[in-house]
Amino acid sequence: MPETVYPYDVIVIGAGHAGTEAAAAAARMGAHTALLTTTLDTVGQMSCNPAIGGVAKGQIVREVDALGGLMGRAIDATGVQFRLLNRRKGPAMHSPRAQADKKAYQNEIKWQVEDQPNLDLRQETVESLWTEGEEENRVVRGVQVRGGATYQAPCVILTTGTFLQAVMHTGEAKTAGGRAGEGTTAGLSGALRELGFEIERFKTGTPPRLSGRTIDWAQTERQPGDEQPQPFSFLTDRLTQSQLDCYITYTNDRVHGIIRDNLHRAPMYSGQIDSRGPRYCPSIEDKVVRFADKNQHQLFLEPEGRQTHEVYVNGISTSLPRDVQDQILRLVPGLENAQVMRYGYAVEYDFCPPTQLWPHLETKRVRGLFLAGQINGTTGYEEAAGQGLIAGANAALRCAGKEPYVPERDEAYIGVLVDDLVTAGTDEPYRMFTSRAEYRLLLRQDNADRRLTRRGHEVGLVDAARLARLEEKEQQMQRAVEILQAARIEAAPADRYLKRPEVGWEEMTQRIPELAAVPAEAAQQVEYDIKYAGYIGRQQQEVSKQQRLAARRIPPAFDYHGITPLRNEAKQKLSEIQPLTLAQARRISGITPADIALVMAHLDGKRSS
Amino acid sequence: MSDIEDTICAVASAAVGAAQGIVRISGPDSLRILRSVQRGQTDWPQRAPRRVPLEMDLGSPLGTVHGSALLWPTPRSYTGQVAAELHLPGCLPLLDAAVERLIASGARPARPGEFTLRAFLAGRLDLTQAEAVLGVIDADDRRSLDTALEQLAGGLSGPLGRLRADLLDLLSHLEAGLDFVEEDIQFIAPEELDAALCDAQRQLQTIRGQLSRRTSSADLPLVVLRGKPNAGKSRLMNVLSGASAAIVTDVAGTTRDPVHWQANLGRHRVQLADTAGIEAGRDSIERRAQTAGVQTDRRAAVRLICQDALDPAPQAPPTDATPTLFVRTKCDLLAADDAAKDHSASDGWIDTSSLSGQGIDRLREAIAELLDRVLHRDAGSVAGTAARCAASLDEAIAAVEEARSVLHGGGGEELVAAEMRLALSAIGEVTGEVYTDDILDRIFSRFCIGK
Repeated sequence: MPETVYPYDVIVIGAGHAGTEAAAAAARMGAHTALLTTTLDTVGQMSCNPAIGGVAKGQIVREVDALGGLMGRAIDATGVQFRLLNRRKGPAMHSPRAQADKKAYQNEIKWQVEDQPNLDLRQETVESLWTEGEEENRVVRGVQVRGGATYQAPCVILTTGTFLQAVMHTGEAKTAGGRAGEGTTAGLSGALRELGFEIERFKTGTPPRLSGRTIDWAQTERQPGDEQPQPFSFLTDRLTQSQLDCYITYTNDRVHGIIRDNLHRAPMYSGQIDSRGPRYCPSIEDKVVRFADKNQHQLFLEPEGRQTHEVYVNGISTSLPRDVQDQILRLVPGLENAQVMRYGYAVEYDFCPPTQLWPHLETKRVRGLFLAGQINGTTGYEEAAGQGLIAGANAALRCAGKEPYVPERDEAYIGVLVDDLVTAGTDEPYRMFTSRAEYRLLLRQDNADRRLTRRGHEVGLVDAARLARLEEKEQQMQRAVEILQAARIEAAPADRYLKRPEVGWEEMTQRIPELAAVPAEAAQQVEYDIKYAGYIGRQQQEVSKQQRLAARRIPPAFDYHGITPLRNEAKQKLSEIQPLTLAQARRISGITPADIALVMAHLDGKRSS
Repeated sequence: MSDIEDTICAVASAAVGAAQGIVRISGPDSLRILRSVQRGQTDWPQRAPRRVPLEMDLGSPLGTVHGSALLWPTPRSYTGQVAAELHLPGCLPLLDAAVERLIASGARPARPGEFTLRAFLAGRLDLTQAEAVLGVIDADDRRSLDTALEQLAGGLSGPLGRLRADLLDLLSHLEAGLDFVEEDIQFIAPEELDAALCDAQRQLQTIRGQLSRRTSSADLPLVVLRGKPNAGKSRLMNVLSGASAAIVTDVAGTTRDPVHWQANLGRHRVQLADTAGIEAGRDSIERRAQTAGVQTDRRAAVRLICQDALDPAPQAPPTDATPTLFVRTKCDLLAADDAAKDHSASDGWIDTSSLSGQGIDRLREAIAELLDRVLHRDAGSVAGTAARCAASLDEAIAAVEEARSVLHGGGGEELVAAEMRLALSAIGEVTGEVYTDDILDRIFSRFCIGK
């Protein structure tokens, strides 16, 4: 029987948060794209917590949206509770977060993917990667799938999440699989090893899910959504759906006692799991051991959707055996009679240390092969989506024979994310924090469109309608600034008056009635620009210093061993990371200013000779 | 190394004790900065390089100093930039003060090798020459930093390290409150934050004050003599310095404390340090003397390992990077035929006799040669490093001040944090440490983050 061959420009394997954004981005840019997943029923599935956004993560969602991505629109359509976190702090800290109706979210993503021109969503089990050439000349040609068919393309994006060699642990019980009820993909992991990729292992945990019908809500604290919910997408004008509440309860000394008594049965303490997990999302057993002096820990009870009683218990991720999980819950106020619907478990999985990637997320080892999402050692839907978008866009750019597009650290959290990954790697599942961004005051959730949409349009990620929306807002801002500069308050230009901390936009509109015509979004941007001009200016100065180094590109395959006086450690690190610019080189840990000076001297030496 | 467009300055004359000292300045702002420190006429050439008279106001107590400046008003200089050389009286405190004045007017203290790098980028040096200088900067930089902290600021690296740790702790409190808003974390109260910042500011100012007081003392390169007791170190030191500083007896172990004396070796004026002999300390006084000796040794620009010619047991050579010379002493005591043949050339040891003067000139030359190599590097000098430390501390102080004024003005914690980060990175310039991972480490070890 002759083998069936399907030709494409870009093939994406895995339809989670990275895969769907990657496929949609490539297709938006005109690449003929196939999105392959082992089952069409889990496209865009939220396999862990039922929430999108949060501090730093919410900023990433806004950036994905500003570049035309799916996540912001999907959560706006299916969110059941919206809150702007850090509202009382400055605008750089404002972070949108929403509880999602999990199933509705997943359906929305699937629908958007199905609806995307240039994109074919197909149920296929990928069995092997098809590559050609040896060593540094190796290129990807496509993938073979179960049933004797081949997908052929110059670019393949792997977004396989936790499914590589995954093992789930609940107490002593071990199951192969990347997500409760699903299998694992062992073959791809082996294929990557055979291609010479270094593979390491991480672990992460999930909490139990309870039946909300059996929770005594009266004993818990209610946590409602915002009265005026703010959308994630720059295209959404207003959120109109009704909102659900979340609830808070606490663990106590008796709970901690049971956990301590059963530590030997927790795989993470018994030695059954020895891979590294995240420090910021410790299991309840970890919290009890490491913070022994705390006599209670918060538990957030989050609804998983409108059409289910399932409740996610955020804050109690665990690998303890099921009988211990039951005992613990009996002692938590409100959960005394709660029925477990799914037990918590820990999952161990393979990932591919991301220093093996270029900043545009193509592997250094195999041309045309891209990796995005949890396979790169990250955690979180938002981090996955951001990487997916970058990988998809750059696969499409490669097909079109164009230069890569990667936002810089001063342009986007997504830029911080990919730069951290490829320059420093990670020794725990990588999650974004605002403290990772040195230009935090520039990277606000409110200005993501101003930072990214125009450039997104230039590379083909953003359509004309979205760009027009941005331009309209910028015109409104321009107009508002002109009004402010023309008006005077207390014998000074009105924009100077607005700088005072106690003065808000409302007062300005009372003093200058013309301003009332400025739409809220534009007004907010003008207010922030004026109020924070000094701080923004200082960070901009830092940025422009760095830009001079960033402009100094290092040619590919630059021979660091040829620089005799360079320290051996520097030679090794630089050769491994292969930084593209002097700015990136300087961010490699252990590289000194003197090393940079030597490399710089050599770059110029090469140029003049 | 990054900012080729910054205007940098440093004391450029290496040899101490010369009649004339040189301060170099290079970068687009050089002339503007010079004009702002010049008291006399500033009707300077627009195109051709020329020597002009200089009257520089160095403030109290130095007053106005007279000298000359060699100006390159166009980029056709050694560094390929607008540049100048200030020729001033060869007195270190005065040269340091001149550098400080230039920094106050907008120049930045040059980092080690920075003039060389610019000269290379301007095509004035070839790659091999540039590499030769840049390749050794690292070790040298670390060394001069240590020296500045230990020698000039004596014991200040400790307080600075503690201060940095305190600021990091403080910042991690702030950051935890910003990044982990949903956790039940006890946030730091504004009053507490202000008190801590106020304290940091005071400590920084104290350190800065101590640094500037000590910077201006003459900081001569140190030549340290080491060897077993009665290896003849003290006598050798006397001969080298031409005086009798150390008490010299024939009883082994006479020298208990590092004794310092000055000497002129070639173009260099140096401080000689004779340390207590290397031996296991028998009593506490001896042990203390040993410790002092080791500390002196660590600051050495050049080290002399001394061995009695009659002592058959050779000494293990030290393993660190300090340039070291091996000296055989008391060669006059060797049997006549043995003494006649000089081993120096064959085994790398220099044969000397403090009594007959044998080999002393050769030793002087060897030390001077090493000093030429060690010290003749732009801004690699202790004074240059001190100037850089001072500038970084000033930056840190300004940032902490700004953090406090943001706090008082009701600005957000993220703005306070931004200033604190600037302060920490300025301190990091001095201590050589970066901070981002530190903050996350601190947060995760202190707070239970778990949502």
